[in-house]
Amino acid sequence: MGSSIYRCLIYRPPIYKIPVRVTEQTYFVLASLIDGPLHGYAIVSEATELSGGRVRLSAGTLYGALDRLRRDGLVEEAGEEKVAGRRRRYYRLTEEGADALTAEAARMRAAARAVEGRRIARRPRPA
Amino acid sequence: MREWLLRLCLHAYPRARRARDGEVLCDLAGELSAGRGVAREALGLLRGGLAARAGELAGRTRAPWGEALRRLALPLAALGAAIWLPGAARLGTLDLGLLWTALVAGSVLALAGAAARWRPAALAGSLLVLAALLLDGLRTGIGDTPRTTVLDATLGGLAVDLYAAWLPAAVVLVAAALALPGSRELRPREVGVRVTLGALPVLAMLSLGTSALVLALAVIPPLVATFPARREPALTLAAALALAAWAPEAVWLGTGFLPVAEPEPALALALWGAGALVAGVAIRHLVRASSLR
Repeated sequence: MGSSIYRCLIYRPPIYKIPVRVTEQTYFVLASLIDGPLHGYAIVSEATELSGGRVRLSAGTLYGALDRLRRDGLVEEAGEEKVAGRRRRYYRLTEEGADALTAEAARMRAAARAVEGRRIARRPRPA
Repeated sequence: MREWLLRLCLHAYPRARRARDGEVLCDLAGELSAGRGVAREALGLLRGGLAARAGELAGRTRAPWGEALRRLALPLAALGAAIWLPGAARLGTLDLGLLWTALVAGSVLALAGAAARWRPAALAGSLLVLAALLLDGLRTGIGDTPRTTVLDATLGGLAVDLYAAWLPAAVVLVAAALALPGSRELRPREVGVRVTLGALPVLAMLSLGTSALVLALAVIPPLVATFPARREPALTLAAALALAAWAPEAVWLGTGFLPVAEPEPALALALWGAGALVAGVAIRHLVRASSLR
């Protein structure tokens, strides 16, 4: 009895929802899925294009990011197909994923507003 | 060749992930490597696989590592003190030198801290022991100067570098000390009982003789006292950690059965690595066997 109480105290998974940390990489992965489901190669290409070439994901990095997003419920798998001998798995945004993406975009907009339109005082260069 | 390299790097991922996603991942890496070079994709797979393994170990086991380390602190500190204090007693107080003074002071402090479940003392003591062993290892090399200390009577002059052999245990003891509470929680009577139990191995070694058998028997009371009899996940983990601390020493002692009187550094390090490997495999199986997932 005591042992099971002890184990419950230690092992019960948290019931609260941990806010998802959206990095630049995951932001552009989510953003690439706005128009509908995409497979891995298309996500990498789209993320590179949307970020202006800054985010260039490798297969391992993309898989890690998609795995985290899937665990957090932000994306889900949307089937597989075989094209020219290559297996491709499709992913799409979930409702939570769309909400997280919208919230992150709003946060970045607000952060940009704090700077845009203001003159930044610069330290005078030494003569 | 490219396909072969990517498939090789894919092995960095845990087996279950490979079975589920391996083909898709490998095909994607192959497609991307056509435009960017295979090295980048291979490294990406390696990094991603290792991260996935680390994540599985840390996050998904949800194992009570802290509690296991807390439980291990007293038996490990007692065992350390039982090795170094009788060794110093044999040398005599005048010939101790800096290394042995640090080992004795650190062992006593670590034992007192572990018995009182008080981090500052245990941490200071265990760090002192670890620093002394590391500095001595750097100064004289590992394994090339076999220094039998207290176990030679039983082991028949067997060349065992006990300083180096104790290093893994010293590292685990530092981790165990870090896991202890920062403030004193135990009542004086509890501390007294735990100090007595922790000192038993030292007293046994001093009075009954410095042998591996006495050491093994004498360390049982603190083990029994700190590990409750009922089955708990923390018990399994603590046993696994104890194995991690002692397996390298056990394999090292096994050099006695090899036809080498004084292990060369490379052989000594290989044996040490073998011990660590044994411990790693054992931890994996013990964690799997317990209900930690």
